Amino acid sequence: MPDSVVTRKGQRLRILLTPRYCKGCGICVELCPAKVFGSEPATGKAYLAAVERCVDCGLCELWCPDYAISLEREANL
Amino acid sequence: MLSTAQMLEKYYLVDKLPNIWCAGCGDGAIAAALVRAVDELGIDKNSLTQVNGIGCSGRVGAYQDFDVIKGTHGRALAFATGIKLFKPELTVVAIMGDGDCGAIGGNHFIHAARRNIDLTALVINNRIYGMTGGQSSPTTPFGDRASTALTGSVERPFDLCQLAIGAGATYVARGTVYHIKQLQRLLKNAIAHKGFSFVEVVSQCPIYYGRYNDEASPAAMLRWQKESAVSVTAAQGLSPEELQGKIVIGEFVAKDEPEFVSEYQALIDRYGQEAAE
Repeated sequence: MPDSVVTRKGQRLRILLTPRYCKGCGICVELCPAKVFGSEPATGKAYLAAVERCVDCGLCELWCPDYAISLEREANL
Repeated sequence: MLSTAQMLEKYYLVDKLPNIWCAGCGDGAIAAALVRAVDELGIDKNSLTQVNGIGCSGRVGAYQDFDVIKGTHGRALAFATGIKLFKPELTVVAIMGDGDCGAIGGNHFIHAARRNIDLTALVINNRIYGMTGGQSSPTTPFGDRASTALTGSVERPFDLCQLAIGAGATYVARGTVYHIKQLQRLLKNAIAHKGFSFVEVVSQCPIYYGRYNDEASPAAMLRWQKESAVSVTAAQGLSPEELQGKIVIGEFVAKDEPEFVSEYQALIDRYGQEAAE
C-alpha cells in the first residue's frame, strides 16, 4: 500500500492511498493546489507524485468520491 | 475531523466498497460530508435513520452503517414522516435526487416543508436523471442538453431552494461539492435545526450531464461549481441578469416555527389526559 509521511504545520501527516477504491476520476490530480498527485498512465489511478509539496489543505480526502485518500495526522500515526 | 480511514471504520460497510458510482460522481463526497457532519454533532449512529429514495443518490445508505430504509420513488419524505412521528427521538435524514424530490415526489416535498416536520432533506442535484441514462429532470437548466433533450431543454427549471422557501421550510441552504467544507457546516446546521431542513447540493454527473454538455471531466465540473458560485449575501446585490447561470450558495432561511411532531404530541397529551379523566 503506497503511503508517505510529511511534516506540515508542525505535525506529521501521512497520505494514505487505497488503489483498490480509486477509479481514476482525476479530481485529486487536477484540483490539488500543490500538485501532489499524478495519474498512472495505464490505469488512470492516482499515485503520490510529489508528497513533499503537500500543504495539508485537507481537500483531497474530502473531495475523493471513492474514499481512496486518507490523511492520517500525528496522533494516529 | 475524522480522517477517511477513521470514517470508514466507524460508519461504513467497508466490505461493500468500492462504491458503485461512476468515476468522478459527487455522491461519494456528499455521503462522506453527511457522515462527518453527523460525527461532529456527536449523534449516535444507532439513533439516526436514513431514508433513501430511488436513483444514484439512493445508494448512499447501502454503504453506511446507519438504519436505512429504501423507499419507493419520490416517497422518501413520506417514509421519513412516518418514522419521525412514530419515533420522534430519532434523527431522520432523507436523501433524494433532484428528480426524486422535485418531480416524482414533488407533492411530498412541499407538504413536508409546509408541515415543518423535524426532518433533514438532503437533495443531490445533478440536473438530470443519472441512473436511467441522463433524461432531463425538473432542474435541467433551460438550453442544457440531456438524453431526452438533445438540442437543449426547452423547459424552465425549478429552483428547489426557492420552492422549499415558498412551501414554508424553516431551514433552507444550498452547497456544492466543490465547497465541501461549507457543505459539512450546512449539513450540521440542517440536522441540528428543529423543523424541516432542506439542503440542496449541486453535484456533478460527468457521465450523463457532463458528456451531453461538453464537459466530461469531473475536475472541470468542480471548477465550474467554483466559478459559478455566489454567496447568498453577494447575490442580494446582483440583478436577475447578473445571477443568470450562477449558483447561489449558503443559508437562505433559518427560523423557528411550530414543529409538527411537537404540536402533534401536545395534542395527544391534551386529549389523552381528558380521556383519562
